[in-house]
Amino acid sequence: MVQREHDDIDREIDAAARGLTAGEPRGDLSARVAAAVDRRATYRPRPMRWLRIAVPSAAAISLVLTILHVYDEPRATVPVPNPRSVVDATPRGGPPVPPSDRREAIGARTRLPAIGSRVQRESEVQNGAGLENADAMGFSALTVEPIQVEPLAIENTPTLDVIAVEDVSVPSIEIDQLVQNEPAQ
Amino acid sequence: VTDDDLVARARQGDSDAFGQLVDRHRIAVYRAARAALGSHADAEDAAQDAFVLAYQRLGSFRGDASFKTWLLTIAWRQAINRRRGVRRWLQRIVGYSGQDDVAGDVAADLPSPETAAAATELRRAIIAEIRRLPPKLRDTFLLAQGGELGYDEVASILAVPVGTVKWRVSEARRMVRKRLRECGFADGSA
Repeated sequence: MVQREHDDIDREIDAAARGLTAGEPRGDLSARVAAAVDRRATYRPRPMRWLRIAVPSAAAISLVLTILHVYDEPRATVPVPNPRSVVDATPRGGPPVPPSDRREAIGARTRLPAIGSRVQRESEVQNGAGLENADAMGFSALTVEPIQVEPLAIENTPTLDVIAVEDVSVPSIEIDQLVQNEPAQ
Repeated sequence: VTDDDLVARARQGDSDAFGQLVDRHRIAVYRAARAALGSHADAEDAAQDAFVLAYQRLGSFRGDASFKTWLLTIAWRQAINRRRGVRRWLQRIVGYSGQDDVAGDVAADLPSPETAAAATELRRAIIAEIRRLPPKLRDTFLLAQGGELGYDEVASILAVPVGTVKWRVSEARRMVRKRLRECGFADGSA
């Protein structure tokens, strides 16, 4: 009984498989094949045909590269000072300049953010200038209280008298000595 | 006139002889291509390409196997290459429905609308499960069940032993049966 049921379902499966591959091509298949064969037989390869594509493509690519280079050049020549050059640019002999002032002094711009967080000024804290968007940020319940900030006092700092600039005399070097000090070749 | 005679004449440039070969084997080539591709239009294109390629390669036909087997091997490779094409891959990604619906033809020959509806439902389920088979099993099963090829010819086309073909056909049937049972179609429910 079970075997007969298996046979029944197998017949259905086989019939479905036959249905999946059933059908015939159109009757003019041989004519279409003959036409395709003739087309390929009369096809003449053109060996320099690739030049029609390659040359315009190369011209277009070089044009684009040239345009990009021309527009990109001014931006590339803007000098970006690095921290070492900023330090070197500090005038010697004068009082030390704070780092932030140094940057403003020489008009330098760097892409790196300033190290450390910016401290709000006393006036900004008192006026609540730093919390203009407090409602949008969800801090509406907070209130701004004035803070009394006493000026910091620096104690035990050495007086400026300790720092003195002394004249340094550098003995002149004769050219003969320089010649003598050159390494022997 | 045998195939070998026609091949000899076609090699000498007789296009009518090759036309006769096309007419003799066009259905077998078409069904082999359709087993791989599923849709009628793709199978027709693949069959045409296979005949053109066979004509160009007639010089390499040595006669080790029959011309039909040699031709079907070319057709099968053409169809598999077409199946692997980008277009079919895209169709599959976006929801491929290239396989022609053959279940609708079943209902016409059946006695009552209820029986026809049940049989159509079963046939649809079977077709769906055949399509879900692993490619090796599905290809072998469809080639063998197409009605145009014997097991030895299927084995030659797929370059596997005849025993492998028989096992794949049996395994394909077993898997379809098992999945139908899991889907609620008891054996013999047709």
